[in-house]
Amino acid sequence: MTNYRRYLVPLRPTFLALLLVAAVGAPAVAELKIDITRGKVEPMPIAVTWFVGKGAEARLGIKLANVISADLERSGLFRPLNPKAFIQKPEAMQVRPRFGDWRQINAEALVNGTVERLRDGRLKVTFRLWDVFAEAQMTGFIYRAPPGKWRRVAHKISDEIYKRVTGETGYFDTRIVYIAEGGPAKQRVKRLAMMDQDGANHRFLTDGRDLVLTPRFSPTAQEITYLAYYQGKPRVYILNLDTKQQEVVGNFPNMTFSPRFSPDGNAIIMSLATEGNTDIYVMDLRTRKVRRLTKHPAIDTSPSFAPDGRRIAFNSDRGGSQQIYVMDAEGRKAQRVSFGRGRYATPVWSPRSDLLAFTKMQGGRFYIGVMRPDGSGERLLAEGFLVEGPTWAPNGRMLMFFRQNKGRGVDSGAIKLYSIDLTGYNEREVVTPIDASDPAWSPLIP
Amino acid sequence: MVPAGALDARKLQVEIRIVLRSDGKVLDARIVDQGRMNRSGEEFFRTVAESARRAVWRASPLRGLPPHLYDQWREITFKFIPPA
Repeated sequence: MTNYRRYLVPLRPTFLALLLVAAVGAPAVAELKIDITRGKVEPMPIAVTWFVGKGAEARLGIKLANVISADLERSGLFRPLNPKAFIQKPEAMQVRPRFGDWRQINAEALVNGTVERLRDGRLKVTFRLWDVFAEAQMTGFIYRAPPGKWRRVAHKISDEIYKRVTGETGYFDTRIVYIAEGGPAKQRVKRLAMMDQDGANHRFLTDGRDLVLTPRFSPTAQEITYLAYYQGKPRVYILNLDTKQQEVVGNFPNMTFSPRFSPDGNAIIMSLATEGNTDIYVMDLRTRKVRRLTKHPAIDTSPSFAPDGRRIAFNSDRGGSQQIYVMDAEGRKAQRVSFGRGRYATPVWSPRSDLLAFTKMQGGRFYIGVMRPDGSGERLLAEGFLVEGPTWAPNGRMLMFFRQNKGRGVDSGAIKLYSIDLTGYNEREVVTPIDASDPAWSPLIP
Repeated sequence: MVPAGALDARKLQVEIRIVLRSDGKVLDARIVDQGRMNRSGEEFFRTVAESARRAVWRASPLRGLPPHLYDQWREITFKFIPPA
C-alpha cells in the first residue's frame, strides 16, 4: 500500500445526469449500477470533543482531546475540526450524540469520552469513536492508568482511532531516541536524547562526555543499541530505556559502525573494519560470539535485517559505486538491488517487510526514498542539502529522518528531525530543543 | 480512507446500494456484502467499504437527476473499484 485515498463520488450535476440518462436510456435495465474508480487523497474530518470530567479532570479532559487531535492531524489522514464549531456540547452527549449536529459541521467521525479519578488515585478514561453518517459506534475502550501516564492514554486512544478507521496498526504510543548536538562545529557535544513520538517528555540520556552515535531500537523491546567512544575507542552499548541499565556488548579493537538489532532482539549486526577492510558481522548477544558474514575487499556496511530474519540489506561499493545489496542471513547470495542513478546508502528494512528505506546521493543533493526489497518501485520522498538516517515507524507507514539546511539566516546549518509519510506529501518538523540527528523510532510501547 | 497500491485491488471492490428520495437526498446507503464486514482478516475490506459508504452520504443530495425517470434511479448500486 503506497498511500491512502478517500472515495469522492464524482456526483456533479452534469456528470451524473448524463450518466443516468445514458444508463436508463438503455433497454432492459433491471437495476442501475455505476462503477466508481476514482479516489482522492484528502484527510478525514473528525471531531475530537473534550473528555468530560469534574474539577482537575475537566482540564485534563481538554488536554487529552488536544493530544489526540494533534496525533491524528500529524498523520495527514485526519482533519480535526475546530472545537469552536461544535454545536452539541460533549457534556450533553454521554448517552448518544445528536448526529445531525455533527453532520452539520461536516464531521464524518466523532470522538467523545470521560475522565475521572478513581479512589486508588488512578485515572479512568473512557472513549468512543462514532461513524456520524451511519449513526453507529465504531469502537470504544476504557483505560485505567496513573495520572502521570495521561499522555500515553491519549496516544493509545489515537492508535485505536487510527486502527479502526484505516485498518492499519497505529504508531502514536511510541518514542524517539536521537542524537542531540550542541556547541561549536569543531567541538560538537553529542548526547543521547529521548522523547515521545510527538516531542513531549524530552530528556537527555547521556551527559555528553563521550561521543555517541547511531542509536537503534530493538524491534521487540524498549532497548537501544548504540556506539559510544570511550577513551577514543568505539564500543557497542545496549541501554534499556525503562530500567536505565546499560551494558557494553563489545569492545572491538578496530573501527565499528552502525550496530543494529536482529528482529528477535537476540543478535546485533554491524560492520567491523579489520586490516583496512570493512565487512559485516553478527554477534549473538547470549553467547557474545561474533561471526563474519561478508568477506569482500570492498566496503560492506549499514546492514539491516528483514523482519523475518532471513535476509539482510546492506550497502557496498563492490560494484564500483555505493549501492544497496540484499543477501541471505548467512551472508550468501548477495545481489545488488539499487540500479538508479547516483549512490545509495543505509538501507533500512520496513517492519512490514514490504519496503527498504534508503539515503540516496545524486547531483550534489541528498534524498530519502523507498524501494521494494527487489529494487523495484523506487520513490523519493524527501530531499535536501543533507538528509540522512531514515527510521521506520512501527507500522511501516511513516519515516523519520534528519536534515541539515544550507543557506543564510537563522536556520543556516541547523540540523532538525522530520517525519514523512509514504505518500511523500505529509512532511513535518519534529521540534527538538537543540540540533538533532540520527533518530530511532521505537516499537509500540507494551 | 482507502489503502491503495500493493493489495489486490479486485478483492477490495465494494458495492453500496443506495435509496434516493425524489429530490436526490440519500435515504439509505448499505454495504451489500455484510458478511465480510465483521469477518476477522477483512479489516481492509471494512475500511474500504466504510470509506465508500461515507462518500455516498457526503454526496447527498445528488442533484441534476431527471425527475421523470425517478422510478429508475430511486435505487442505485455504486460499485467502488480501487485504483490499481
